[in-house]
Amino acid sequence: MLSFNRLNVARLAGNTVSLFLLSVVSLAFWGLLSSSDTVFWKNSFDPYLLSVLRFSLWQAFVSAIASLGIGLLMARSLAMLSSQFNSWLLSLCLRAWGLCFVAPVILVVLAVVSSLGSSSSIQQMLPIEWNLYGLNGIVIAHCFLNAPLVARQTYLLYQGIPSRYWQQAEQLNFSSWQRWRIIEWPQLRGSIFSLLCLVFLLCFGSFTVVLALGGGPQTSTLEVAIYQALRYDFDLVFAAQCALVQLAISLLIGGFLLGREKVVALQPSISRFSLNLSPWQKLRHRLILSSGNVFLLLIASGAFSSIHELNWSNLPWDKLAQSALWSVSIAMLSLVWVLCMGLSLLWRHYNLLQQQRGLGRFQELLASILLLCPSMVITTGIYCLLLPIADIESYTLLIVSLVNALIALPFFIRSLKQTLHQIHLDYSKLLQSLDITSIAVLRWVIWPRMRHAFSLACALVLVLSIGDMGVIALIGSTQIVTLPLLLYQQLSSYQFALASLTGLVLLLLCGLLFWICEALIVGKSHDPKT
Amino acid sequence: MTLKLEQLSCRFKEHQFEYSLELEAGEIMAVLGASGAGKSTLIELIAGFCKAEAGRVSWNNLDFSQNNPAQRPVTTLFQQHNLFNHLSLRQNIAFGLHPSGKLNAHQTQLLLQIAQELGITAQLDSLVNQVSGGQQQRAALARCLLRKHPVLLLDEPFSALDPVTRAESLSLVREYAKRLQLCVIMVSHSLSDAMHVADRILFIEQGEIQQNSSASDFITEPASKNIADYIQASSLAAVNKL
Repeated sequence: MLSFNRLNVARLAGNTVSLFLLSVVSLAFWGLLSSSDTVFWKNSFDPYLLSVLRFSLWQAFVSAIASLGIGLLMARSLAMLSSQFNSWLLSLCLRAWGLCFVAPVILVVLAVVSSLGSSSSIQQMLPIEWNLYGLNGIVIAHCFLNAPLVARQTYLLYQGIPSRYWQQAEQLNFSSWQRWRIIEWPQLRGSIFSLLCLVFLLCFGSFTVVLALGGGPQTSTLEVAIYQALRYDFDLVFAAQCALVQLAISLLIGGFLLGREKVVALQPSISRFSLNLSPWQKLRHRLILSSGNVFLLLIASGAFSSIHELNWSNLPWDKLAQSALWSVSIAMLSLVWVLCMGLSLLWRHYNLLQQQRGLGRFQELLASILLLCPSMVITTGIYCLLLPIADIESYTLLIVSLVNALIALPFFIRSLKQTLHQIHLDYSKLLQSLDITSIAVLRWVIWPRMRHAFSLACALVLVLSIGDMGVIALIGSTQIVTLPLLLYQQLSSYQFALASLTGLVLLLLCGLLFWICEALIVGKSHDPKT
Repeated sequence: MTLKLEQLSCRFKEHQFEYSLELEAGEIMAVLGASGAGKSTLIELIAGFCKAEAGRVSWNNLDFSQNNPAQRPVTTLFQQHNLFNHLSLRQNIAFGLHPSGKLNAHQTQLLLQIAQELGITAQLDSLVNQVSGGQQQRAALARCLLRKHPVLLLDEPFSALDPVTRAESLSLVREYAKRLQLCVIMVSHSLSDAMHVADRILFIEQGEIQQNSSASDFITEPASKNIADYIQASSLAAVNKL
């Protein structure tokens, strides 16, 4: 009886959340459809929309190819040299690459502008005049954000190659090209195209980078066009049309990506075997790896290069504190949203697993749609829907936190679902045979195995939310200025020293949130399984 | 023609391994011992996958301890991952004749001949996953034999096969070792497999050779109580299986 009630409550919670999510997405979609001009679709596309679409696709394509190329080279070099590295150095490298991806985008923009902008020392050393703004800057910033992601994922794929394969290659005297063709490429080819699509999708939906580094209407993407249409031209029809085009392309590419998605058991192969590389090959791999990491370090160091120019006696601390407070408030609210929705869906998922079923198809589909919906599209839809009936500024906090939560929810669920699945695989029969209460299962089995992943998932939600600028820039009021928005305003008015300080505060805040999550949730306990 | 190991040693974590032995061409040596004793390390040291800290390993008095794996007169058959799964058996075997896998007419003839001898002609164009475990190991053995290296190292390649296929595979190895005068070192967990195929048995414990004797002497004159216990436990396991 107890079990029956438990299942019912889990089903109720899961279905309620699913219904809520579906309503939000549908309402946003309805908002877009009702605002877009139907006559527009019958006639040919607006030339401006076409040029924006063309540039959106082009910059995403160039960025994705460049990120993939750099990431692949770095991952291959690291894989070839990994046996010569200390484990801490390897872990440091992988962590640094992971951090690049979750770094607040506006901070990356600041770093790129400071290290490669017109007043930077690198620019002054160059013999030719070079403009950072436009495609150049956009591609560099996208490479900084995405090449490490590609490198990290590809390195994990390399780890999946059995060490015996490398030994066979050694014994059979394979050349470097043969090693690539016979061992490496077959392992990578299944994922490389998916990685390319993923990076393309991320760059296609990039807002902050293009807004800050675009440099004009010729280099505007769909998301920036939406922003400009809503904030400056107040052209609701054009914004809705851009959002619909953006949604269609994202769903098309994303749908293809999800269709190809497969769970790869990436068991790091623990091997004593080290590749027998010639001195020239070693040098080449070291050069590639060092160049990649120096590029990342060089740009990252630029973020705070202007901080020494600050006049410390006259700093707008109150403005900074207020922005930090807004950022933290929005992030916390997003976390609450995510916890309510995510935990309900995971509870339902665990119950379905116990019944030998996975997460319902409906929930899977919903999670996929959420993952593919660009935040600007949802925000624009909600904006279009609410504008005639409500004062949007009064609901800014609620809408921004909700949209941020919707964006972070798929990441939250994905990072915990796998652990939950493993718990089920490991213990389901044992738990059934012992017939332990659900509280005891949660207390003694699930929580100890999940706490580490849970703390990371919560930290990820907070950092994603705190670093987001798109949603707040689109619907934020003049009163609510978060740290990324403040940083953008300072960058726009060429206050680089102040922007560096704001960036530092933003970075410290992210670090602090990570630390708090780990200290509160993981504590001092050590669980070898995690 | 002798394979000679002289105080060939290496260190892995806190364990020290050191081996000295001699093996004539055409002889088969089975290496026994508990898990972690250092049986596979012996194979890896000879094959060059694990760098020796000291000592020498030679074939016909030619030291090859500093050579790369490909330059050694050695070929290895592992327990798994002997074949590249995305290639056909034919493509996998071809690497034994030419590093690029592209064969001339003579080499193709050699490939077909060995495939016929090992009974895998019909499966040559199948992918690795489409054939049985026994056929996979035969293809891997074919590649080893085509390389024409005088030393064949077997790191439990047949342990996952059913008893009948395993016995057939071991007989094949013995037949080829005698016919081609190969020097074979075979790591095994099974005393009965060792007795079935080997001329000599080497027993390793904690990285050191405890006994190196003929197969018959190994059973009748164990060098230590541990070895006697090992033989008894293996015999009991065989009886229990019956």
